[in-house]
Amino acid sequence: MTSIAPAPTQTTPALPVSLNGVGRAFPGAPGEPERLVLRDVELKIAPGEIVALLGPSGCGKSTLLRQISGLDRPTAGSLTIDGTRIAAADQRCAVAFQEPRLLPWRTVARNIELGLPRGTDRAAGRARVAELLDLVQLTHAADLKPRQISGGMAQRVSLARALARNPGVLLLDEPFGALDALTRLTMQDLLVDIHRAEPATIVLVTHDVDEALALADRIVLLGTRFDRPGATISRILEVPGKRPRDRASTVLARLRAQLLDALGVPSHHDR
Amino acid sequence: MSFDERGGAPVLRPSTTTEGRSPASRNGRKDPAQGAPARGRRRINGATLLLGAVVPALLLTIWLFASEATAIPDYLLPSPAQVVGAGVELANQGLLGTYILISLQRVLTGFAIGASIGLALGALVGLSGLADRMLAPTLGAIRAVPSLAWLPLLTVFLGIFETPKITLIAIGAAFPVYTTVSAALRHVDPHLVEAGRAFGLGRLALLTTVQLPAVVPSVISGLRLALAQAWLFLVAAELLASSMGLGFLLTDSANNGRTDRIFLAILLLAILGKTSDALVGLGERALLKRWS
Ligand SMILES: Nc1ncnc2c1ncn2[C@@H]1O[C@H](COP(=O)(O)OP(=O)(O)OP(=O)(O)O)[C@@H](O)[C@H]1O
Ligand SMILES: [Mg+2]
Repeated sequence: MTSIAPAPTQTTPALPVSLNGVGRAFPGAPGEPERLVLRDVELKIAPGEIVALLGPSGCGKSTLLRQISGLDRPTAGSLTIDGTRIAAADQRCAVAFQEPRLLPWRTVARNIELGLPRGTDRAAGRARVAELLDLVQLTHAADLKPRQISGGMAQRVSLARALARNPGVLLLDEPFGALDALTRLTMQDLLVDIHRAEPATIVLVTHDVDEALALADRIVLLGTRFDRPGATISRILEVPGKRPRDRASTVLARLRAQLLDALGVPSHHDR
Repeated sequence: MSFDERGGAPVLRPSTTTEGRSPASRNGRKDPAQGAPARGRRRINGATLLLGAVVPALLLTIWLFASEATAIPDYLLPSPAQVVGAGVELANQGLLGTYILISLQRVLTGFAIGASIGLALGALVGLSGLADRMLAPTLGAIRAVPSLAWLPLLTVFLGIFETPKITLIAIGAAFPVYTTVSAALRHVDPHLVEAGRAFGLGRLALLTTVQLPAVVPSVISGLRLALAQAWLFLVAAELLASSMGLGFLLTDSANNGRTDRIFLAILLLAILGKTSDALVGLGERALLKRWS
């Protein structure tokens, strides 16, 4: 037996993602013109990078994520993962949706199992699920049905299901939205740990400026200009510093003020 | 006589099965009340049985009183004892058991065939847009034909033996299943289907992992409706073209003025129908526990 046998939980290398002039318009109601939601989104994401998507509600963050996952197709431009075109429901991605979307008739553990790559053998799969349950602190809830758990727990199950893939690209749509402040911080730290152990490329939608500052290498702001329809990238901020970051640092405080300004929130920050 | 063939079919979302599971609330934050057992799935205990027996006991008392203490003649309103006597008499002739068995056999055979066909058609129409556009209008038109209209045709085509009756019952049982299953499959939460797709499920895996489990409650309620329809169509078939069975007992007794036997047949139908429904109900509990 040589040493090149694959490890039981094989880590997929992080993959680069490239968005080239991506636009998405939805057909309007009968008789109405089509509605442009996204336009001219141009972004190169390096392998292993964490990008946070920030923007007002309804501006198209989830829609953009759906383009990357291949669940939806752009009406303009193109996207690639690792240089190749994105397939319908591209299996190099794993998604944690904005809603948990758990199968109501399956237990928590069996829901996470759904995320395992096809063809994982039973024993390895079971071990991986147990490991993930432990990671998201839900070992005690393994045998409960989704209707028996809280919204925040369901969100963590959904995150675990996405992690089960060991994906090259991890797409997280407000993964910590329904969590209490403390669990949220714990989960953010957890994501940092996971990313260090298995560095996937992560695109993370969030409404929480501090979350973006704690997790992201770059923060991408989506916004709509008053004079034309369709949201596009209005600003990109590089966040300095290695993770885990000191949440109270002055550099982050200054960035926070900038971000809030850009989002149109008065920051009450003394300059 | 009013045969309500369509009455049962379009009940797509019985409260017992889909309660509190609108797409919006399904995976979102839940209020604690949703964890409690849904209304239709209450536990059966002594008190429930006792409460359920109150009205039948009351009816029996009224019946006893009306038949014994009033001037209504026996040929219009036989007493409970006379009805039991009629049952014993038929049993001694060996007819009662035969009639019950033949009716049961027809109902179950027709139900099994019809439900299977309904399930297959419902799955086809619910899953494939093409099949939907091609088949749904025709099936809708066939469903609109009142059951009795089939009977003369079936008798001519298939003779007066078992086949036409079974066919009629199968037609009656197929439609509730077809309607509920096709509608339920069309309305499986698209979010769940998309999640399945995102996690690499192909068409077949999606069907077995997401779509079929999601419609289990609807399939069961469709089956319950189908069973009720099967009894309805059984009596229709036996009333008009039969020499055996409970429906035949009804017409035969009407022709001979045996009101006691008519009462007997109606009581038997009530008991058999309720019992078979209760048995399906037991299966429903087990399945719902597993699939929701
Ligand atoms: N399938 C669809 N058909 C038509 N319009 C759609 C569709 N999906 C999204 N939209 C529209 O696209 C816009 C952006 O939606 P999206 O869900 O991407 O917003 P979001 O930025 O994720 O918002 P939030 O922060 O509230 O989740 C919305 O105005 C929505 O109405
Ligand atoms: Mg969204």
